[in-house]
Amino acid sequence: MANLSILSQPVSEGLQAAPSRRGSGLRRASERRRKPQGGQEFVEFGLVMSLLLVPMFLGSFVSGMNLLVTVQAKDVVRDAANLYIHGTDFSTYSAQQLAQRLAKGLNLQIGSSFSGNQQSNLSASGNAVIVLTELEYVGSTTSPNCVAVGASSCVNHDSFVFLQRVVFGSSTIYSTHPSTIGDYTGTGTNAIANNGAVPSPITNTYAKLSASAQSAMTAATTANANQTALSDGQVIYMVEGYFDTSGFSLGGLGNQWVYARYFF
Amino acid sequence: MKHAKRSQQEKGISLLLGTLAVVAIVPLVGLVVDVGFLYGIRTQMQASVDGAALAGARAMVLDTSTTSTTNTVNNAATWFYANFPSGTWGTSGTAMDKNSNIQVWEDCAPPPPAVATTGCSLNLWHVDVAASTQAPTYFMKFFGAGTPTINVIGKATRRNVAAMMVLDRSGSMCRSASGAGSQPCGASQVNSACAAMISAAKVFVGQFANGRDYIGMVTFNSGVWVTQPVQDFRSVLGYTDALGNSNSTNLAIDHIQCDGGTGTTAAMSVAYNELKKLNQGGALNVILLETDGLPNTLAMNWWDNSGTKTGISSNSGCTDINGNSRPTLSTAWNTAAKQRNWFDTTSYTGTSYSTVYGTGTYYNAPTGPYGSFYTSDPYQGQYYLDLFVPWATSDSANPNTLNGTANGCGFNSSSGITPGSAMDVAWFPKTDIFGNQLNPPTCSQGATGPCAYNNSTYGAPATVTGGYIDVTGQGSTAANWSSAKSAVLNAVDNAAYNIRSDATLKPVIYSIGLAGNYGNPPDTTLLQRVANDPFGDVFNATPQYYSCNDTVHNPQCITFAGQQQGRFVYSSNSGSLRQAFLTLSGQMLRLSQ
Repeated sequence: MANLSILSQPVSEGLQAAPSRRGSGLRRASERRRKPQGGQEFVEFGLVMSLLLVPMFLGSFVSGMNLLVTVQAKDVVRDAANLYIHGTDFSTYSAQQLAQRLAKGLNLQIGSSFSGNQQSNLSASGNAVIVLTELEYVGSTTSPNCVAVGASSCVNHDSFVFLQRVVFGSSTIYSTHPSTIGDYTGTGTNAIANNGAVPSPITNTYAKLSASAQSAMTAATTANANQTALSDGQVIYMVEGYFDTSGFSLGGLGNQWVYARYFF
Repeated sequence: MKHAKRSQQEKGISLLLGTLAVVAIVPLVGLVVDVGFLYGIRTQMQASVDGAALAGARAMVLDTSTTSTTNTVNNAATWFYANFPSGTWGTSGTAMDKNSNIQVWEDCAPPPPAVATTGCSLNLWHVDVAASTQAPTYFMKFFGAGTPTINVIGKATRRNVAAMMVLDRSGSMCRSASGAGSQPCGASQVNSACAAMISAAKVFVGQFANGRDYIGMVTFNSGVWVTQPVQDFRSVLGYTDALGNSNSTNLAIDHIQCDGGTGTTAAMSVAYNELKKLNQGGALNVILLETDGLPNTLAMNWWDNSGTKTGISSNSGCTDINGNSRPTLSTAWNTAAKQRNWFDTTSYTGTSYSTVYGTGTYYNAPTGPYGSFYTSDPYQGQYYLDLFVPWATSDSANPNTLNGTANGCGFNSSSGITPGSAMDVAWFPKTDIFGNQLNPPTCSQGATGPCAYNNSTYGAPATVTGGYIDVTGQGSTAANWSSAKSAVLNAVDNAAYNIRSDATLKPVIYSIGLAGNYGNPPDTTLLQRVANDPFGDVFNATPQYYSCNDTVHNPQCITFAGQQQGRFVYSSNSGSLRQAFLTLSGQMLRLSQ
């Protein structure tokens, strides 16, 4: 019964409540056994954890987070492209706010509110920038686009030209990660409109994409045997997004940036 | 000793167990990583087929018959591989063959084994793009899952378009950069705004899919001409498409000759009537208005059933073809017969609106000749009044021949009203013959409409007596022309409101204002209201007008949230007219997808 009572108590209390010789022998044996093993399980567990499990779980976490952010970023760009091709005017503040809501969690910060149209609305803060571009392919000097303005004036023949460019998001990111096809640089009478429309895209040399961008666009549209070279007047909608994902990558373990681009 | 032995045996057990656990955990983690990777590839690929389907639907306009899908398919394939080039995310064997993986089908004729659903639309086309790829795995390949196949399908639809172009062929369209130009003018006067409009209209037509879409045209000056909407519009109207194709012979658009007044209201109403008759409820119904000046012509019926008002002014010295003067008629124009007395019935051919255009919204419009009020801009110091049949079926007809031969009044084209003299008419009816209100109530932004457009520059609110617009004494000077001018502006605005009120067709109105007619430029606020466009100038590098939302600078601009929104484009010269048409066709094609 006494043993039972001991068992019914907390171990430490039971040991203290039965200070018999036998009991003191058990305690000594226990101490002997524990001494050489002191923390061994912890060490082994720590080794397994630190060498295998922690990196594995950490890697899984970082990989998962990166994937999550990548997929979300690509979805934002895809949705923006879908809206763009269906006529949403992203040079308006309300449309930019819509994109901001789509990018919830990615910290897309747009500039201050405005009425009417604004081609560029960049903010000093934020972790993302969205670039929307409408392009057109201008055919040869005998194509309708060139005939309409006169072949001699058709300086942008056989080229991709800007029709519209709208940018909003982080100015910092945009300065380090501009559009892959460059920016429209016309000024004065060739300045881009508030809504991002490029004036006289057929005759204005500033509207023509740079040589490297021309090559990139040509490659993108002709690399596969199933592709067909564009003809005069065909319009391309392109949306790009750069997202700073360093906040999700645990100090540089994962990707620092996500870039997404869609042609529609 | 026994405990010590066991202790020795247990050394490293955690390490062993942990290592054993890793054998189970690594595949699980690998599974998570690989599945996540596959999900990422699938996301990219899904977006690519979505983009391809949309790009294909957009290119449907380049296929000139319902059986041709070449451009649709080519465009879809091009943009699929632009978005998902070979080797994307380590994939291999990507399969999206343009000949077997893209289907283009009409809503009521789905590819087997599917069958058409109840309520399918003949105006809806589908583009389906299917693709597959072999995705890499980095962990699962050790467990037999080497390169799983990912399959995706992207779908897009394109609504057919039923569009009516409403083109201004008034005399001011003969103006070129060097001056007013002589009237009439047309395509051969290459520097005129009229020629630029003809060229731009053909480019506009070329943007749409022959065989799928419906395009028609109403041109207007003091009268209107109609080319009814058809699917084979390229061979009726003429066109220039993006591939450089065009008609070798001159067709309806090329035949446009510009001269005369600006009867915008009648033209818009007749254009809507054509859409109504076409009745393509599933299509995107569109009216595109292009004008270079202020509306200045109304088609009215002064026949007052109630007989409470006397249309002819008591100051008028007019006599009818029988020599009867106003006092003889006592209650002037209170019967159709008396109204007709003011015309030379022997030369009147008897064409009525319903005779010419058949049924439609306005088939109940009273038959017979109507009085059309025409005035050039009073600020230019010239104004007069005429009566004529305000419509015709084709250019070969001669609607500008005025029917009135009444002596001594302005109803006769040869005499007109001498500038400075009084008008022969005492009042305008409440509506024009199409039911458009000439004096709707005054209201402000946020109202459900209809609302008057009282532009203080062009016309103060009309003076109204018993519901009729009192124009007694107007016309003697520019300053007292306000009621007549206000009525014309209100009628255009109200016509657009009435058209947009159609809940079945849900028409969208687009408008183009062409500057260059210096004395009488288009009213940007009016054209914003016509298009129900709340936004500002999105066409010009330097905005040319304030947005409708700017109630400080543009207080008269009222739009209606419950109605279809179109877009207004202000073309500052005829050189940018082509781009203006292209801008709006682009908008329409976006909306039709």
